[in-house]
Amino acid sequence: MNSKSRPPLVAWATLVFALFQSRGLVVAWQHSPLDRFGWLALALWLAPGLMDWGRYGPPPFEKRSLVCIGIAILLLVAGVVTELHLLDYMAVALALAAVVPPRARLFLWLPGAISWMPLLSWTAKGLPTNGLIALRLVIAVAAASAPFFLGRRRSPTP
Amino acid sequence: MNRRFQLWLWAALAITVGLAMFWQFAPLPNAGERLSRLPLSGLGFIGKDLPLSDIEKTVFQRAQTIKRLYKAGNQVFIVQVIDASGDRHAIHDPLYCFRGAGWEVASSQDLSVNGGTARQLQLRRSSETAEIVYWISDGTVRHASPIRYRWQTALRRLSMGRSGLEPVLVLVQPAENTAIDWSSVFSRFPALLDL
Repeated sequence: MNSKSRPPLVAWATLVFALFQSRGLVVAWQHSPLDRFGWLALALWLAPGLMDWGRYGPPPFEKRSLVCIGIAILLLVAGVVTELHLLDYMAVALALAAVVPPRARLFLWLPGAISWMPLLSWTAKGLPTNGLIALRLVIAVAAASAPFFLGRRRSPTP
Repeated sequence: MNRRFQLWLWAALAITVGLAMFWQFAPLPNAGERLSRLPLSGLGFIGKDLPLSDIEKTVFQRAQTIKRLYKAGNQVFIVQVIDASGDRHAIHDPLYCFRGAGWEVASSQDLSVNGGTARQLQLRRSSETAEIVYWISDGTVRHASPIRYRWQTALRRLSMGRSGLEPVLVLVQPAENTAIDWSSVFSRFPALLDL
């Protein structure tokens, strides 16, 4: 793989800053019963990208990755101004999509990021706690497995 | 990869980090003075401070919080006031918090208070029932909308506090599982609505 096509430093820096801004997520996962197992949903959602990285090496950094980083930075600016963590979480999802993308069409995988965000428990707060956890994990698994059934995007690079 | 675009991204990221640091190290005026004005006792009421639970200590780590037990006439109730100027995320939508604690909202209605409205909730969890009244106050206007609270705090942040005083969340609930006459509470303890 051409090292120039790997995720550039600015992509990693954006991811690190987005993660720092989203540190409250860990508190939510620990203490909010409605957000339990959010960490597991994140791991499941991220699994295809990590597996592809392990199998084929760092993903090529493409135009779509650049767009993701640009939007992530815009969301971080908005998050800093409004102190809305949701915007920081969305920035994390986009930065991860730029750095550890699965070999799938992003529109199939990226929306599954809602599975690890408190936004899901806020929008589905009418559900019983166990139902919410189940919904969270089902969305994460569905998003993670979508690439295996639909829209495999690029062939592996040796 | 376009190097010029990368440079733009670096510049945008640097500005974002700079903004975050600026607001981190230039804190806005908080509501501490208003909180300190809430009397522990007075004509017709007496109170005592209550310890925060372990979860409250974690969640309100960087927020200023008052938690007190008050008795006004024959009404005994717990008052909690949260000033989240140090950590905006210490204040959540109370409905979300109660759901998270396993409560179901049996009924919800607006309660007219001086300067606006409060929200009165009847909660149910298995065989338990509870009641709570809450509102968000900037010292003048009172409401129970978490979205409006977000707008207020975002505006304060953008205007460096010039758009108004820091809104605080006030929660009041009966200490025992007895019915509370809220109008009696507010008339005996008007300082609650001065926050």
